[in-house]
Amino acid sequence: MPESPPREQWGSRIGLILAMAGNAVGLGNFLRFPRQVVENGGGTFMIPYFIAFLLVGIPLMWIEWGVGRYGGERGQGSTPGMFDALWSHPLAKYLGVLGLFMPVVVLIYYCYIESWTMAWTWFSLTGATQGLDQGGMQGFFNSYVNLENGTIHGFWVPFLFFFLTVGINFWVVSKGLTAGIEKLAKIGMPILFVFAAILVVRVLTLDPVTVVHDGITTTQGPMDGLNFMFTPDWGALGSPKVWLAATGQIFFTLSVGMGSLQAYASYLTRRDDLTLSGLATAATNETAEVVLGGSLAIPAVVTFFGVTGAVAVARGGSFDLGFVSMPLVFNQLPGGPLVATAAGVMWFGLLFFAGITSSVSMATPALAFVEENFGWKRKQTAWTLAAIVLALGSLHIVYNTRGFLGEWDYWAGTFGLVILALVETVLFVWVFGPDNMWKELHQGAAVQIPLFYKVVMTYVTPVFLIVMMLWWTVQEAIPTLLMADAKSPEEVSVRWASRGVMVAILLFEIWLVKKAWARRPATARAS
Amino acid sequence: MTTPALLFLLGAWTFVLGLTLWCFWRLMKSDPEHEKLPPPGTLL
Repeated sequence: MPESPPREQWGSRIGLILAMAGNAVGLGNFLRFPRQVVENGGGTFMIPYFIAFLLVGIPLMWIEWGVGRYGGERGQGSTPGMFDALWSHPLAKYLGVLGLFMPVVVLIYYCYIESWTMAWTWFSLTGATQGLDQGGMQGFFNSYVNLENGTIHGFWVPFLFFFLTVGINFWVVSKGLTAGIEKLAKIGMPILFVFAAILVVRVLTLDPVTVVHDGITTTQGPMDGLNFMFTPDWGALGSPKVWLAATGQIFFTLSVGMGSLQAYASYLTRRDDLTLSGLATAATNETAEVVLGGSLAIPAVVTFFGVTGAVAVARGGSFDLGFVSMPLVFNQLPGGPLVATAAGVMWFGLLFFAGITSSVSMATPALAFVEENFGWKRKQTAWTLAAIVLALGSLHIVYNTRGFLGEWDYWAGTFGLVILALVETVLFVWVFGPDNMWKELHQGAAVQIPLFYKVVMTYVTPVFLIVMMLWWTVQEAIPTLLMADAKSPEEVSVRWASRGVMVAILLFEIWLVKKAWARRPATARAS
Repeated sequence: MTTPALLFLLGAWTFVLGLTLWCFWRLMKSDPEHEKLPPPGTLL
């Protein structure tokens, strides 16, 4: 193995935890979670949700920190090198390509969605969404996300905000770990929590509002929203769908199975704690999700549109909830345009910070891989990746409404996560060995993990992941592969093209890994 | 709010807030010398 180049380190433990939590806290905490609770049994959803958190979420968090630090000590900041270090087999590095492929693919479309939050922060600030009724707000949103319907915004507007978002993201990552990513987390995470806390206080102290829906007059307040969200449906506990939805939500919210947590953890040293820091990261994310995310959108929407209206909004999807209903709520807040502006800026501002602290983490594995294996400098690597994100992200802007983005979100952002999580669990726990895994996790540990978790990580977590993968394959992956829901032959063509681009990215990364290993001295190429 | 909904809400909040506060309390309590972190920006 060639001598490892000098690697940066996290500047402080709080910086590390904020960056890790920033990685985990994303748009899903504030938009996806409330919908999942409403659609899957209300309060009873929290039972499988917390069981999945304890049996899958926390173990995977520790596994990913452990895999990352183990690889980082060997000069490997991405999963091809990490898996190769764990399992001396020619296949290991190619399995690790998943941890390069998924973050790059998700980064590309995530930056596009993140650019919406920047755009809506601007629209809130300039009052562009004030005075719009439900139809007007929906049209305003549709015009932005569907270029063919771009009658309100010029076609260049989504491109402008996307380019700005990508520019900021890569300006941050080009500055490096401590001066870029850690500084962003130290600024962005407190702002996110302060904005969210102010909005939660405002929403929960709203006076009840009388709503007329379908000729029926009701008076609703924010507590009715919480009641709507958390009223238990005990029948849901017996449904496998609910258990898998809860496990899926834990997956998405903690950002496990992506490759980015491992990349961040690779900058730890052997003396650094990972047991308590990993747990603190997971717990911080849960506070952002359950306490803050659960107290914003649904209670606000129920107050102004009633339960029936909230159900319709929830069925319309997370983006309608965030970008159509919430601005409508802000327009109706007592205090007039100034309050509406402030609330809009805080809501979309917090979504932007939630997004950017996640997206910079997705860029890290690819940057680390190229720098470590091809000797590129950070700035050169960052701006090259930025150019790729801009080029491929533009395809999403053009073909968004024809299923282009949905394909990437499903195969890389959903199904792929479970596969990578399963692979890394098998490698770190079974191949590396449960005893080695346990010893590795406790190097420099500030707290001892209960022994019970050794059994959980060895048997329960892998079984959970296998069941989840099989269930998703039968229920979703096969119908998605066959495009059972395609609305037109044109959409089928666009979706196949979308898959073609993904396959091209995957093949290119496999080729890069092959090339990187061919450059290594023979002694290091034993695998 | 109905009692069952309130119980689920309070249970969920207590769990996550309790876990978060405990983690940060332990982080503050743990000896910084234990890890001997170098100054920010240090290259290994």
